[in-house]
Amino acid sequence: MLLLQTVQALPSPLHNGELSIDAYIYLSAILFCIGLLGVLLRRNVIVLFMCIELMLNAVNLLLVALSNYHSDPAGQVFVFFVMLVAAAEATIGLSIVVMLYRNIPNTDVDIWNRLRN
Amino acid sequence: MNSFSTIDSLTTALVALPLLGFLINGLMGQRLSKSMVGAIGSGVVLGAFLLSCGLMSMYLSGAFESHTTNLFAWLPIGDYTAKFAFLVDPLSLLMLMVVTGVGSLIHIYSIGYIHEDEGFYKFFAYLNLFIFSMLLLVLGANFPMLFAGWEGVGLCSYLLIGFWYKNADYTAAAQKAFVMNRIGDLGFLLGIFLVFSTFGTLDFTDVMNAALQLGTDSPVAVGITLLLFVGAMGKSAQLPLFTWLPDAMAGPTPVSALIHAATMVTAGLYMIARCNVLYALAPTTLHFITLIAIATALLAATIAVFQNDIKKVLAYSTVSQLGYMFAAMGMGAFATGMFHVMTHAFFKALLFLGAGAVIHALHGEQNIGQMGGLKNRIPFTYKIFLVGTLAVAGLPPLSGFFSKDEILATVFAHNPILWVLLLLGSLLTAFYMLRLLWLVFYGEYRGNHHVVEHLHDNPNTMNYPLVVLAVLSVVGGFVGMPAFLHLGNAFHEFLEPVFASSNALLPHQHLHATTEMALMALTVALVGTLIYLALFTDRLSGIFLRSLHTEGKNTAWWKKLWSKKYYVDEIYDTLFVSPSRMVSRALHQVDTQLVDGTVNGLGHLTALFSQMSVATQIGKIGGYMLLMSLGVLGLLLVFVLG
Amino acid sequence: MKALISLSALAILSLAGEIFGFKRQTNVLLIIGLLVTLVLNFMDWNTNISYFSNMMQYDNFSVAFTGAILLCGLAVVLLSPHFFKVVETSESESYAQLLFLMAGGLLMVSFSNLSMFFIGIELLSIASYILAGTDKRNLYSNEAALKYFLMGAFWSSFLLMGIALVYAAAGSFDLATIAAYSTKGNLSGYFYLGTFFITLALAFKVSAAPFHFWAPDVYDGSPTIVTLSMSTIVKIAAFGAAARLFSYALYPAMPSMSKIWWILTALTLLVGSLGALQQTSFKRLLAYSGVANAGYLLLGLIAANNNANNALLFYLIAYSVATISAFAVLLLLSYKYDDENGEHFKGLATTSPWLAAAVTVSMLSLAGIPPTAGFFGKYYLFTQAIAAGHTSLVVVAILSSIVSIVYYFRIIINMYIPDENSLPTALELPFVYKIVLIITTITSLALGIYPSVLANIL
Repeated sequence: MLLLQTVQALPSPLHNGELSIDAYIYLSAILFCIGLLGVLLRRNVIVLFMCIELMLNAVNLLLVALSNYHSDPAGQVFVFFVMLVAAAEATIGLSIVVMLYRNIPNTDVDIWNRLRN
Repeated sequence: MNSFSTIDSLTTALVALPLLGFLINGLMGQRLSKSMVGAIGSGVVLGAFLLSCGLMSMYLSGAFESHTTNLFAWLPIGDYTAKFAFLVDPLSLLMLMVVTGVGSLIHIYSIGYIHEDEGFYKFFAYLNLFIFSMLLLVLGANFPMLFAGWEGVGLCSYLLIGFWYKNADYTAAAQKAFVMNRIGDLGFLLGIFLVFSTFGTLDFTDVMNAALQLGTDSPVAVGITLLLFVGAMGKSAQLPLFTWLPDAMAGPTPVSALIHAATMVTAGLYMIARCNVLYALAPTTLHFITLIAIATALLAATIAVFQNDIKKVLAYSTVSQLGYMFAAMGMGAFATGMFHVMTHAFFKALLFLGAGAVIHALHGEQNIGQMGGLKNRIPFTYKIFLVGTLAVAGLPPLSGFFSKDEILATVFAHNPILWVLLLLGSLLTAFYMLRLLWLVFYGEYRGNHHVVEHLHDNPNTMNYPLVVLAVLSVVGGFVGMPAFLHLGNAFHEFLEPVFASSNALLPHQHLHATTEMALMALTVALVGTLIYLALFTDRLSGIFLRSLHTEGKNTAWWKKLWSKKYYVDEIYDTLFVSPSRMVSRALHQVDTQLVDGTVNGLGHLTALFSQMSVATQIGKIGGYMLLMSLGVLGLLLVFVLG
Repeated sequence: MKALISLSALAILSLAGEIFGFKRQTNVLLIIGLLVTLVLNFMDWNTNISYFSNMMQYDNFSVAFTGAILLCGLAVVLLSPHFFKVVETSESESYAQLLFLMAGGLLMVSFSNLSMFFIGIELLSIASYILAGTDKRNLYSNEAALKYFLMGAFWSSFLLMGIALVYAAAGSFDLATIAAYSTKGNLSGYFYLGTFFITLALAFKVSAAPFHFWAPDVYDGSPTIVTLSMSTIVKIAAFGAAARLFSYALYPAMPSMSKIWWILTALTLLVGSLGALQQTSFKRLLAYSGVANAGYLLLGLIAANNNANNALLFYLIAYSVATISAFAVLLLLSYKYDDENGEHFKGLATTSPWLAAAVTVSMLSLAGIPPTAGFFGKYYLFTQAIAAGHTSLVVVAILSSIVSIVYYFRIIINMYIPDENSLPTALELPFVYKIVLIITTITSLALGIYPSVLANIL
């Protein structure tokens, strides 16, 4: 019930029969949540990482759309920054995974639970 | 600061001296000879005492009435800046004299007492640091300074209780003292915050002037005074935060004399006297203080009756006497309370040092069941102890008589029923002190005979301070003669400027001279009878001896109750520890992980919460991600809906 | 700005050290370089210049926080050589990572555009992922790196989402433009939502509960010297960034977030101090203490004004200084025993009284007992929080600090009880450790006695 009210209170994605900026925000929010669910549901470290990339790309999509909406190139430049950082993260992430795989050849993240209370 | 007057330089030097002593002894003490360390340690405090005397004589000759020494800007808080400043007025002068005077005597005594200990220099360094903090406390011109000293004395007390740290019990006692004081400090700190948010300043003089605008019994004044009193309950060992003081007797005896009898424990009373205007404006708080104080006084006095450790008896006696002082404060008779603070400092320090002399002579024996008949073996110590006992018991014309009588008279004027309770308390006081005296010095020796053969009085460095304290215990009361004698009460006149505005606020009932004389005669007669029975006849010796044994089936219930300290520690256990244990048992069924193991000495409740807070630390990334996402979701709900 | 350039040059220099074979001299070079950088940094005091078409702004706030980061970095570099003798890794590469991490931190405290903020936080994070896994053969270090990396990347996307939503509302990444937009009133819901996500992402970075789960594990698993840099440099940078962001641009959204702040702060305080009670490993204890201290620091963020930033800086310095002392002694013990169990502190005072004294001062400062810097740090933060109207949080904070006394004092008591398992001789104390410990201990005490030197600099 409450959820329904919240959804109804959201701005409509259609504006005079055209897609408004809100539509892009909803789209990227949905993509973001798909990535998030992937992170929560999968155990394979590579898949986990891909899901995080999906979350990042959802934001990239949003940034490009917003850049167009505000007619401000800064948004697109920011996307380049994000892509760059994502690439760096991927490099580091994969090398960490390789380092781990050398010690314990398994890609399940939950076997790494030596550190705990 | 335009010019640095003589008073400024005297005050600064006074505070700087013990700090200097601490630095020298703390940093280089290991390399100095013992006599050097002792001389520096005692010398700086003695120097501080002489400077206090100088200040006192300047005050008495009318050179100043109340003087503030501003050293530097210390703590900027918003628009207000707390200065590092000292306030010299009659109240701080009185405390100065007591702290440095009794302090230097105890320092000198410690040279002999602690001589064989390897931590000799550390001991003196801590003692000097304590004196320094205490001076900050009594001289501070604003709440932050008072608080800094307050925390400082707490820290030193902690260090000194745990001085013989090789014994695990002692360190536990030290920790108990520290944690209990912290609970009090929480209230104290909140009180200071409330003062600041109400008045926008923390200087005593400004706060007190501003407080006069509040009107009687305004909620703010009651709140502030109650919170501050919580701090005093911790530091001055009042119900329900008193159990740390008897445990604190684990420290060396001079420490017990200095910190846990003469000076630090009176910090709470000093604080109330310093904020007297605020308290005078909050009669509700004063009633509360009176109740707590009288309950504490009686409770501690009854517990003291069946204690078998010589220092524990004195500790409970201290708690009880602090109750008397607070009772006076609660009646709005601030000067009367401070009078008892002073006389108590003399005779309680004397008793503790005397007890120390007994313990020292008996090579560490503290159980009075193992003593007896020491009267002729250590005659000097006996005489000292006798003076102290008679002073606590309130035999005229010793100092304890005057101060306690003044409290009793004040209480009678307000409420005769409370007077009966306090009278009962002072009879109990006389009783347990006589019991202590008799069991230690009279009758037959009950201990190990190897020890007693080489028994002798202690070296002179330990004896001279005792003589001075004994003289003070005898004559110290004459500064505050009873009103009906019309000799003028020098003590009250001295403190009059400090309490002038609060005295104007509070109603004062004066007793008729004949009533007061009658009350006094009654007290003296009762106490005198007890003394006669105990020391001049053999009537009470049987009772005294039987009182040593409080175990066994035939023991009366009240005897057990008293000797077990009303099971206060056990009650705290039941109240706070057991319920949490039940909760944890229930949770055990749900999740065994939650209750695995306990944390020592913290009470199961904290342990339980503590375990709950790490129970989520499962080590798996997936679990963490899930928990964090749930956290996001929960906060998002709060954010959107709230 | 000069400091940032010089720091990056140093980082590249130490990478070159690996290639051109002067790795043995790297440590000395870095110490000199960092001292020069410090001087360069303080030359910028009171200049307030903005760079790169207003992407960064070097004001007094940046200079002060940069100074704190550089000093902590210097301490880490000083303590490192002895550590690298024990842990088998490539020394000058690790230095390069440390310096990149610091460069990220510098960006985080001097940005005036959200893109620089993002770059800074990522630079810092990526360097710290690598550092956490420095000890390649050690499974604990591996696990720490994996956990830190996965969770960090996960939260980066939240941060980005927040930035994108703020951009959606304000139409710019520039702090001044955002501030101008947000003070106008009638804000779009996206602005609040964006602020919310950014807040959570920063809460993760500063290890605030309920996003603290990574901290104990990562702190515990990482090599000790890395843990030290994470608990000092990263903490200063993250709080600096948060303070800058909120007090320069997002403060109009603060009132609507007050419940969120309340929950975050109270939970962090309680989880940190209660969790620390359970720890036997000293490193893990410090990790939880780091969580609890993040709670105190959150108190200083709520007010989001200049005075609160100053209180924050004071506490960060007090906390870092005490932490460096504790870690220096822990490092010395770990060389001897090969692990970081708190038990090894037992009886330390009998053989190494000076070390014990340094740890005592550090613990007192962490517990907030006068006359140490920690007391005034807490005091200033509490007054700021009260001024911002969060008295109930201050009560929670005081309760938490009462609990914290128990575990800090357990360490102190342990040191002063003679123990048969304790070392028969004094710990070997290298010269640099001596210097670092003397400086940190004196700073802790000096700030506790005369706090006004730092209390009003911003």
